[in-house]
This record gives sequence, C-alpha cells and structure tokens, in this order.
Amino acid sequence: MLPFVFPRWANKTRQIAGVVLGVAPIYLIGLVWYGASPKTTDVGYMPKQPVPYSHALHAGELGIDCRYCHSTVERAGHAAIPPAATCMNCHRFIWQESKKLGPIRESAKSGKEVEWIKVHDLPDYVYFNHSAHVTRGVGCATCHGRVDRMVQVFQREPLSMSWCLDCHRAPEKNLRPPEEVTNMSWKPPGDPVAFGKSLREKNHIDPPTDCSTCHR
Amino acid sequence: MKSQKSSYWRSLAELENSAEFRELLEREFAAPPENVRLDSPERRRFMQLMGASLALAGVTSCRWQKDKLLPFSQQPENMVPGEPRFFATSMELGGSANGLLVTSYDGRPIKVEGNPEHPSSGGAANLFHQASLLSLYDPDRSESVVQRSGGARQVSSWDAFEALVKERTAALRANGGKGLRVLAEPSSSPSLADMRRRLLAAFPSAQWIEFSTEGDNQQAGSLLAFGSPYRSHPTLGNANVVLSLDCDLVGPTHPFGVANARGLVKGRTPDSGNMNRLYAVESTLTLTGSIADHRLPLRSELVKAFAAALDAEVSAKVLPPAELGPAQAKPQANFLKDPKVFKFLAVLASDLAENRGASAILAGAHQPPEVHALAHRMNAVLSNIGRTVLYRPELNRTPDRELESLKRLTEEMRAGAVDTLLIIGANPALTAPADLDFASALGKVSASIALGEYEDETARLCNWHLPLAHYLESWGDARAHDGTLSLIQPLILPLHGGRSALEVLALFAGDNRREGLDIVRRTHAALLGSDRAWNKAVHDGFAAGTTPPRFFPTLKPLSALQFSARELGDSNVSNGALELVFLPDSKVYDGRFANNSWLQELADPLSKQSWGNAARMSPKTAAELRVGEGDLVQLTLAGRSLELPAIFTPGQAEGTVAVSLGYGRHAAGHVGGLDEAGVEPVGANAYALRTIEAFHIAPSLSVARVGGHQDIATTQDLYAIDPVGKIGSEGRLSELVREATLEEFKKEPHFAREAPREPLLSLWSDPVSYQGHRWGMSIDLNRCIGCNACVVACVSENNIPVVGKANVIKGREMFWLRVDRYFKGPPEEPQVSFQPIPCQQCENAPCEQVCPVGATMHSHEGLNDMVYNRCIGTRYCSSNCPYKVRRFNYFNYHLDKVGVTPFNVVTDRKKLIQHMAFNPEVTVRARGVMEKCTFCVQRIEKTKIKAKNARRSIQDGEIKTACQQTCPTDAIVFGDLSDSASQVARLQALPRAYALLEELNNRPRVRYLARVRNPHPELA
Repeated sequence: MLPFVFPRWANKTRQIAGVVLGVAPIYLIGLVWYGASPKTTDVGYMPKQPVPYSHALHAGELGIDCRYCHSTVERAGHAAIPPAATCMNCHRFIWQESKKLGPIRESAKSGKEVEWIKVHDLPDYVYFNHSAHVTRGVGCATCHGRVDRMVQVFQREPLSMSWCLDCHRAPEKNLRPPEEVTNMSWKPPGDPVAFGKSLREKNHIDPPTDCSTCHR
Repeated sequence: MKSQKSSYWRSLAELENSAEFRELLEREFAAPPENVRLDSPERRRFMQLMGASLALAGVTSCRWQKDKLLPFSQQPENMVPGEPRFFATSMELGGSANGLLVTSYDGRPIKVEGNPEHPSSGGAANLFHQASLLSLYDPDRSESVVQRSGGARQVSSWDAFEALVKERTAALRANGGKGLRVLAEPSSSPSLADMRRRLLAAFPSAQWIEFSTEGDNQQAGSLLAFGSPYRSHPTLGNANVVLSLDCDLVGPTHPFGVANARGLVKGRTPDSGNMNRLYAVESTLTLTGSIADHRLPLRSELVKAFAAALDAEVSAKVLPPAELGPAQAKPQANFLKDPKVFKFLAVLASDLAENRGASAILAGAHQPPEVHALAHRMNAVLSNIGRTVLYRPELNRTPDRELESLKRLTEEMRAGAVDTLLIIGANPALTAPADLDFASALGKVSASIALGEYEDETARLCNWHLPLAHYLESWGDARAHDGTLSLIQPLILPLHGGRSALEVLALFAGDNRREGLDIVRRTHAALLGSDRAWNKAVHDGFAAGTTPPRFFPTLKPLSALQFSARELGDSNVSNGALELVFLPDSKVYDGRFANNSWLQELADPLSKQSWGNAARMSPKTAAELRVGEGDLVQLTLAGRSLELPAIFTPGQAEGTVAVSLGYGRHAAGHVGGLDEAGVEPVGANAYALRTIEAFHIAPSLSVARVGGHQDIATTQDLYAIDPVGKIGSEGRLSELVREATLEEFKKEPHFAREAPREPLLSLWSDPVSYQGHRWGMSIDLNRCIGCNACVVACVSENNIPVVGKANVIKGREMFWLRVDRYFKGPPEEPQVSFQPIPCQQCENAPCEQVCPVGATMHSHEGLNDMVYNRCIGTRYCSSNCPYKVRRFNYFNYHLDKVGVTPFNVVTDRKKLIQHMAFNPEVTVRARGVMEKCTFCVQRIEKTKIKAKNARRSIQDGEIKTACQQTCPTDAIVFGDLSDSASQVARLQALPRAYALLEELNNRPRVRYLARVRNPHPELA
C-alpha cells in the first residue's frame, strides 16, 4: 500500500495558518467593535420625512403635549402616529397655504395616508408595549431623548436588548411619577436613584426579565 | 418491553409491537433529515436567496428594511391601531348557526372564537368555525365573475352579469318564471327564506330546490312521527341516560354538536356524584361512541331493527297511553338473539324506563326516517318530550324530499325545461348522487349560474360563475340550534368583490333593496326595527328572546315497519354484500373545506389519518378480505367503483366499510386538488359511489385488492411517549391515561394518585423562585370528547405552519397541541380515551437543561420560554422532552408568505392575502428553529399589561388560552396556581388529578383529571 504523501501545496499550510491566526484577533476585535458601535444600533438614524415636521417647534416651543398627537400611548402597544385630521385641527386655520404641509392637506382631502418613515424600529420578534411603560412612569424622553429639541427626529438610544435589560434590572434611575411622563424637562427632586427607589416601591414596579416578556 | 403488556394501545402496530412502531418510538422524527440534494429546488432557491440577500446587505449596510408608518387620514372612532377589536357574528353549517366572536386586528379578522352569550356556542367553536378563517384568506377563492361559452373561459364582470339578469328576467317575467330553478342548500336564514318568497312571488312558476349532502332524513322522520316537520334538539344537560342510534351527536359534523357536547358533559361531573350514562349503537367509531359508557358496534342497516326491538321492550316496560299507538313488534332477527346484543338491549331498555323524562334518544342523519320516527316515538313514550328533547316549528325548509326534488330537477334539465338555473353555494356536480349525472344535465341548461366561493366542479360546468362572499365578508342571518335568531355581520369588505347569496337573489327578484344589510334589516323590520334594537342585536350577535316557542307535538301512531332480510341481519355479509356507509368527514365536512390546509393536515380524531380518506374497516373484516393496512382496494357498488387505501379502525362493526365524503376533488384548489395546476386530488371521491338508492347506507359492496400500497399519513404513532421511561416504575400505577368506573371512583377517589414515595431529588436547583403567578393548566379527560377544535384554535392563534402530506409521513407535523387517542381492550370493541397533550411546562424542565445556547429558558412564572432567535436547531431539547411536545421547522414553511429576509419582500398579492391570516402577536418562525406550546404567552402578557395599566390584579379566568377558549366542554382550564381560589388550583387539587410521568421529577404544570366511566352494573 502506498504511503500517503501530502500534496505540495500543503507546505504552505503553516504560512496560511500564521496569517489566519494573525488576522483572527483583528477580525474579532473589528467584529465586536462594529457590532457594538452606534452605527450598528443605528443611534443617530435620522431619515428624511415626507413632511418636515418639527418636534422642536410643536412640542418644544408651542408646548403641545406628546399625547395630543400620540393619543394611544397610554392605552395601546403603539404610540400611534396621528392621522392627518389631527394636523388639520390647527392647520385648517394656520399655514393653510404652506407648501411643506402639502402632503398633509392632500391626505386629509383624499383619505390616502402620509408615508412617514419609522425612526425607532425594533426587530419584528420584539413585542414592545408603550402603555406598559408610560403608565408605570417611564418618561418619553428616557427612550426617545429630548424630542422637544429635535427639529428632525432621530434615534437617541441604541434600543438594543442590553439597553432594555439595563433598565428592566434596575429601573430606579429612569422612573418618574406617571403624571410627569410627557414632561420633557422633568428633573428628579434630589438624588435620582433614591427618588426612583421610593417610586418603585410606591408603584410596585418590578419589571420582568423573562424572555417571553418581549419575545413571543 | 412493557408496552407489550400495556393495556392501552394507540394503534394496531403498537398492540403488536411491530418493527415500525419500535422505530418510531426510538426515533422521534421518523425519517432522518435527509440532506437536501444539491440540485433540488429547495436548495437552489436557498442559494438564490442567500446570494440576493448578501448582495443587498452590501447596498443597504446594516440597516434593515425601512419601515413605513401609515396613519389614517381620519381615524375611525374607537379604533386604536394595533389593538384588537372583537365583533360578534355567526357561521351557519348544516342548517344551524354557531355564534362567534371574531378578533379583528387593524381591520382584518385574525381569529374566530365562540360567542359566550350565544345559546348554541356558549363561547365554544368547533374546528370548522376555527378554520373558516383560513378559507377567508384562501388565495384560491374565486376573484371575478367568469363566463364560459363552449368551453372557453372568460373573465367577466358583475355589470355584465347584471345585464344578463335584466335580459333573462324580462323573458322570465313573461312566462311566470317557468324555466327558472334555484338550487340551494337548506338554510335556517330568515332573510334567505324571505328572499325565496319574494322570488317565487315574482316568478310563480319558478321552483326552489333544496339539496344537502347530509340529507333530510331527520325532517322526514319528524313528518312520519308527527305528521309535521319539527326542528328538534336535545337538552342533554337534563338527561340521565342518552342513547345515540348511529348518531355522532357531539361530533363536529353534527349541526348541534357544540351545544350537545356542552349539554352532555354538564351531566358528567363525577366529583359531585352526577354522572349520566351514554349508550351508543353505531357502525363506525365516532366521537360519541368513544366517550360512551357502552358502545355496541352494529352495522348501520341493523340499527332500524334494533330500534324497533328497543321500542317494543321499552313500551312493554313503560306501558304508554293508548293514544301513542301500538309499539313495534319485536323483529325476529337473529342478531338480536346474540347474547351480547340481547343483554345490551335489555339493560338499555330498563335503564331508559327507569329514567322516564330524563333520557334522550337521538338518531343519526344517515339513518332512514323510520329510525328517526322510532326515536321520536320512544322519546314520547318515555315522556322526554319537552324535558330532554325540545321541539320547535321548522320555519324555513321546503316540504319536499331533497333527493326527489333534485331528481325531478335533473329530469327537467335533461328535458330542456329549465332555461335558467341558479345554484347557490352548493356543488352538485360533485355532491349529487352519481346516478343522476347532474354534470351532464347541466349542459342542457342555457343559462346556468353558479354562485360559490370557489370556481369548483359545478362552476366549471356552468355558463356563469359568480364569486360568493365569505360569511366574514357579508351580512346575513341564521338560526341557532334552538331557533334563536343569529346575525351575521361582515368584518371586512369582500376581498375579491364577492357578493352574498341574498344580494344575488335580490338581483333576480328585482328587489329594490340590493345591499345585504338592507335586506337583512328589512326581514327583521318588525322585530328589530329601531336602530337601538338592531344595534344591540348586531353587537350581541343574536337577538335575545327570539327563540321560537316550544311545541308539544302529538305522536301519530306508527304503522308496523317492514324489514328486509338484510335489515334483520339474516343475509350474509361476505364480500359482495358488505355494507358501505357514507359519512361526512371530520375535517373537510362534505368537501367544502377541502382546500383548507389546516383541516387537511389535521389528524382525524379516531383514525389519526391526515391528508386523505380511506376505506375504514375492522381488522377482522380486513383479514377476511385479505387486505392489509394501506393496501389499495377497489370498492365496487352497483357497477361504480373507487380506489382508495384501506385503513383499520378498531371498533368498526364487522361487515361495514365506511368512507368519508369530500375528498378526491379535482377543482378544489392548490391544497385539495386542482387538475390544471397539477395538484393531485387529496384522497378519493366517495361521491362517485353514492346513488339515490344508496345515499347513506349501501348494501352490496364488494372490496377487491388491486395491488399497490399507499402511505397513509397517520399521526397515531408519532410522538409516542417512550415507555422506556416507565421501566422501574412497574410496581406503581403509572399509566399515561388513568380511568376508573364510577363505582371504583366512589370507593377510592384517589385512584389516579400515585403511591406515596420518597421525595425525588434533583441535580438541579430551581432556576427561579416562584413568587408571582404560577401558570398551570388542568385537562379533564372526563370532559374531553376528542373533537380537535382546540388543535385548530392553537394553529390559528400561533401561526403554526402546515407541512403537507409527505412531511407528515416523515413525522414532521408541526401542530403544538396533539390529542392522543388510546384504545384499551380487544380491537373489536375497544374502549377509547383521548388525551390532549400541550407542552407540560415542567418546573424542572428537561429541555432547558440541554439547550446549549439558552434558547429555552425558564420564566419567573414557570413557563418554558422558547426564544426563537437564539435557537440553532440542535433538537437536543426535543430528544430530552419525555412528552414529545416540541416541533422542529425543517423548512421555511411560511417562506412564500413572509420572505426569508427583510430584503426578500413578498409582493405577490395572493401571498400577501394569505399573510393576513397571521396573528401579529406571535412570531412567524423560520427554518431551523424549535417551537412548542407557549401557554399562549402572548395572551398572558397582554392581560398582564392591561391589568397593570389599570393597577389591578388579574382575575381568575381572565386569561384563556386558545385551546381552552374554544373547548365546547370546558375540559381545559388555565390559570394561576398561586391563587388557591382559582379554578385551575381547585381542579388540580381534586383527587382525580394526576401528572404525566411524575416519577421523572419534571414537575409538570399540566395536570390531568382522570376519566370516570359510568357503566351499568349489569353490563360492566
């Protein structure tokens, strides 16, 4: 029986292995670096909307409560995007001629929806519920940032699973009295953690960390 | 192995401990996952998709597909996007309406459930109601008006059809509608009856013909007994003794099945000492026979003589007043002298006589009118009328016998006397008796119009086909089993521009109301005239207080019945003279659900066959015919023949072969069979053998082996719970199914409990400390009737894929909940037990301990959470699961509907319509992922959030799992075990409660309540 002879190219194995071993750590570091970077989690994602609606103007300067438009936030999973009719409540009287409001007027007239671009987009296997958070005292600004200062809305937080769990494991630092949830400039009186702890006790807040809490 | 000695068996293979069974036992997923061949379409498609998605990934960086948010322009009142709403409606099947509550998610119906307030439903829905949702989104439903001339198919429009109606009716009006015929299924709808009246008023010479596949023997029996057709329905809750004469009274094919099942189990609560007794005399094992305390297998043709003998015996005991007429003379039949039958009859008669006014006798739809009349008579003799059997006027039906009028119609069509034929909803080209040859007669009608949901066998032979709106798309009405007016309201506009039967009839009748809503409102103008009353009725789904008055009909003396030699069982029943029984199918009914893949994939509750039908025969009959299971046989009946595989059904009467109707369709659709698309028919078409004479029971069947074998997709041996785990516990009571008789139960209520033993220790520490809710379930085997409604409810709720026949044969069926069926005793007369097996949600879960990636984790409330995103498909969990409840996605079964990646977006309109049936609250799983019952965790979470938002605690019974919700007998109860007052905690504390394979120390959260039978002491 003939002895097995390695083919000639096998001589290069060591060099190849050397290169692979050399490159592997760089690749791994790069992978983790990139995987955890805001670019991956889309922090700062700021798509152009069909109507240049400014939260800074409406929620900030004019002080309209979040729930005037996102009216279902306390009752439903989704904080619904307002129908064109809500915009027209005011814009029937002001800026009736504005070009920028064209798509809204068009929608109100034709019944066809305005195609807003979703900014805070969770994966489809995550079942997030706004009402469960808002009624318990997690402020809008906690996850969405100071929307009242955003001319164009962008994603402020990573919305990653670890980010969710950080709060579910220690909600104190993000709690406020439920009546203050839409107050963008709310500041805890005194030590935020101590205040959060007292709220947590008072409102029996014990966020679950089970898989099925969000994944079904 | 112990299974050889085990007294319970699931299949004959297990009873014999055959090699095939042992292989199934050892290998959970029967066939090894074969490598997908490199050139197979699946693999090619996978590579394409991978290539495409990688290319796109480069373009779009790591951002997934841009999602759009599309708000309303004007938000409708009370509409919260993403929050489900519930609407009451009804579905009519077999002439009786079941009240439903349908979940609508952002405007699309996604789940059908029973309406708790409705008298027929009481919150339950059967498998047909549950699966009707899938039919709504069936891409094969017809999408347009179609005109055919000379074989050429042409897509037309409603406008063109209206023009035709205008032209036709002008001509018809001149001669009083002489050539106009309407063929429809019998319906309890008052609006349809009103429309019929209007049509016949406009065209006095026109005729309305009713035809159904289940026949009108019931009505004819009432006519024979009382001289008038009454609608009778039992109230089984008041009965101590119930007798079924070949009647599957709790089965899904019985129009009152849900109400009957509810009533029957009301009187079967051994814990309170209240147990009725159910006797069943039947040829083919049915659900009713399975739950019966005593079952007598008897050929269907012998039931008449049996009933006459029973009448003689009961009357002799009860001595009824003379005005009820003389009893039947006891037929001189040899089979009645058989000691077993003799004793059965004697005990039954005395049991009935002892329970006067508290017994009920029901005859099956396929039994001749005489048997129905005898049942009525015996109910009268036993003073049951008005107590356990109620009579109400039959409001809608035409007095003609269905088959006679259909025959007359066919003759008229042949003679050219019919120029306009409107067929509503029915499919006579398939279902009419074969000897009528309805299909060829259709060619003689100059304007034949078929209104149907599908372009089916009939539609293809008609000049015009009109798309019929689904019941979830149209307005209508119908009557509940007790006659209560039930309303049908649409949840969605017709997806394909269909119209309801009422709307099409309005066109013909020249009615000034054309909209379904207007027509229905007009019908009930007197009753529900005010908007307030109408809105309340629409909201409730029925109009309270509209139950027609009870009647106490007087019996007409019944003349002495004549019996043929066969009916006395005197002639031999060897091959060539076998009995053939046609039965509606437990899954496709009469064929109308043949294109519903949920139902096709479902296993028949008793034969456990999915995807098809077979010639059901007892093992002994098969042995005499030298036929093996799965062998292709040819059934020949009066020159007509049919080939299909044989299947052995224990408990089948000897000499009887049963076939179910509704299979073998060539124009059902891409699921049930479609010639032009190359989709082979599923099963064999038993209508081909059905004739006017032999419509239900045929006397002269011959069976011949034709050579060849067909794999029957049965699921009976899949997921057999491994008895290897039982070794070492032989000395203990550790059967999976535990049951006792009422006597035994009274003596030893704890019979199902295991003997006390050393506490079992675990190597593992508890993953969580249970402080909050502890979800648990109890399943009462005494209440379970094995009807499969829970299985379809689970499929609908949890987006469970259908895998198809080939994969079912390979053991890749995906249904999360299965109903195990066990036999006990001899194959000729087995006792049957059902056992629904969902995930047992073990506290000490073996699956969790072996998952290498943490894809199945324990929640703080005791659920075994399944995290699809982590799952890499090792299937270790499944091999370690002693209950065999985990299912693996071998393929992307939903690929065509959802796309495999966000970059591969489905744009095909038909696929998108199918997509609408998904429950958005549940992840649609992809290939390579394990899945299993979650206790409907989406419902738990939803209720928890709702309760927390309102700062209250969850009420007991507030969370209902999908299976529990639809169960007609409330066999399944779910709740919080931490709350000792909860129903589930109380049930689990009953002495009858036991857990499966307790000795493995899994600490399952599901407990079963052992079944208690109530045999008569003299027959036990």
